[in-house]
Amino acid sequence: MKRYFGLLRNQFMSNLSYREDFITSIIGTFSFYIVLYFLWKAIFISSDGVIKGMTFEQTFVYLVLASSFFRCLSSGVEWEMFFQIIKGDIIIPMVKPLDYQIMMMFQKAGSTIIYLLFFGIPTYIAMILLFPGTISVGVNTIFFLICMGVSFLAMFSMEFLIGTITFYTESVWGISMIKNTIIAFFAGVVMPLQFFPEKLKQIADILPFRSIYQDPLSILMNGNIDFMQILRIIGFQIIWMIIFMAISRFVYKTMLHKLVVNGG
Amino acid sequence: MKGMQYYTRIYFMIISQYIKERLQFRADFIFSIFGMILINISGIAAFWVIFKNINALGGWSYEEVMFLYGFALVAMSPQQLLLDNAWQLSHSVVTGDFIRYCFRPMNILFYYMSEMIDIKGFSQLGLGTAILIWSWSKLNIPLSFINIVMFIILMSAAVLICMALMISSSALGFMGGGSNSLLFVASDLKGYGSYPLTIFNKAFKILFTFIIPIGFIAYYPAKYFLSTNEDISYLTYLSPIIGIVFFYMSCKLWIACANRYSGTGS
Repeated sequence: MKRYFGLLRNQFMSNLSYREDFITSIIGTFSFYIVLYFLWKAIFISSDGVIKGMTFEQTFVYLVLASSFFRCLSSGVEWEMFFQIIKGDIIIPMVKPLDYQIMMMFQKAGSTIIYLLFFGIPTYIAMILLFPGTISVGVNTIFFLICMGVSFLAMFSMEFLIGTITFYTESVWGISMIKNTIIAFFAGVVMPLQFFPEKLKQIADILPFRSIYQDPLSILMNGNIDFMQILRIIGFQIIWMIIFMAISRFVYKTMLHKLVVNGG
Repeated sequence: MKGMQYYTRIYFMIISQYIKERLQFRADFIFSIFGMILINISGIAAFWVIFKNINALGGWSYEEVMFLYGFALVAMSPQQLLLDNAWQLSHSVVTGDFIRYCFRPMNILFYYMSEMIDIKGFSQLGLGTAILIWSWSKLNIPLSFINIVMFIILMSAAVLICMALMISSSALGFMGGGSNSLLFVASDLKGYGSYPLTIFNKAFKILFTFIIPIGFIAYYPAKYFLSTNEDISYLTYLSPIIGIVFFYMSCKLWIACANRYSGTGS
């Protein structure tokens, strides 16, 4: 009898931990948005309500959507790969007749969709209700969905690339943080790129990261954006996406080859 | 009970082993330090860019906000450095590995935490100190004897609060769920301590002062150096007591949870 109760207790504990995770992540996300709100409110008080053409409401809504979007696309696949590599478990998916990279991609696409359903879309709806007038819903929303798919592939390729590199470095936290920090800063997730001083903005415009976050988000929020502009944004997105995917695939294949050759 | 000398000696023995182990991973060492520095520089850069657009944040100038930021970084460093093992606790409990800490004849919290030291904490300490020195001189804060003494006292209080936050949230790991979710939240909250509390409305100011005291990580201690005499609230002078009390309570909580765990023998 004791054994059965032990099983029950185990299941209870693990379900509790899912709920604990869920509740704490809600608390965490909420406290982040609250601090974001007060921080930017204070910033706009000192600037007479407008910075580089944006109001507080527009900036706040943009930043909430940006961080939600960022969290949505950061699948953390490099962490999973790292743990699989150092534990040696990596060999299990490798011997399957499926391509590891493509397999992971579909897996992460799934978790991204789940995140979108439970966090992304509710946040989007909440912003529309709480701050009417900041987001336009219409054809632009559909274009955004296309952008999101492209952004997902770009981000996934980059994270997979890092995961592959951990095979050589045996380290993940540092590189992952470097990736997150640089991308978030230059993609307009920390703050809209318009706020950057001239020199810094030029750097941000050359780098590919704005095409992953800031540009698609401008399509999501702005209904008046003209069609040529949308095409240009998506065009640049796709170019960078192809570059990232190519590099990621190449490095992956190289590593595979090395593994096979060394009889690993 | 064992004395300070014993604990100090044992501590250095334990961590030197660990450091030797970790130094074998050269790339990890370099990337971690670089990552930590970049994260903190990103924070500084964000403020720098913001202040290109405005003059004051919550009534504080750029140099004052940087002082706060540097102060918070230094306050967070000892906890980052010494209590890194807190992140492994829930895993250690779930795998049953934690039991080996229960049988040694020394303070269980000390023994557990001494197993890991996070070298990248040094880079945070270095950067924080550099920012503090920069803003201290920019603000022309006098380097008087009393200021130095107060700095040591107030910084110690801030350090204790950071540690208390992480110790108490890691105690949830004893519940057996195997997740670090609360630690992540606590870590984020700790980060919010580097903003001036003046940006918040009354309700949140109270929350962050009396319930989740992140205000004592940097805001209240720093006020001693940044405000004129009338502004310094009684809370600033209360920081050392609050620091000690919270730290003491968090340790007690942690050890009580640890004892409960070993008691049920799960």
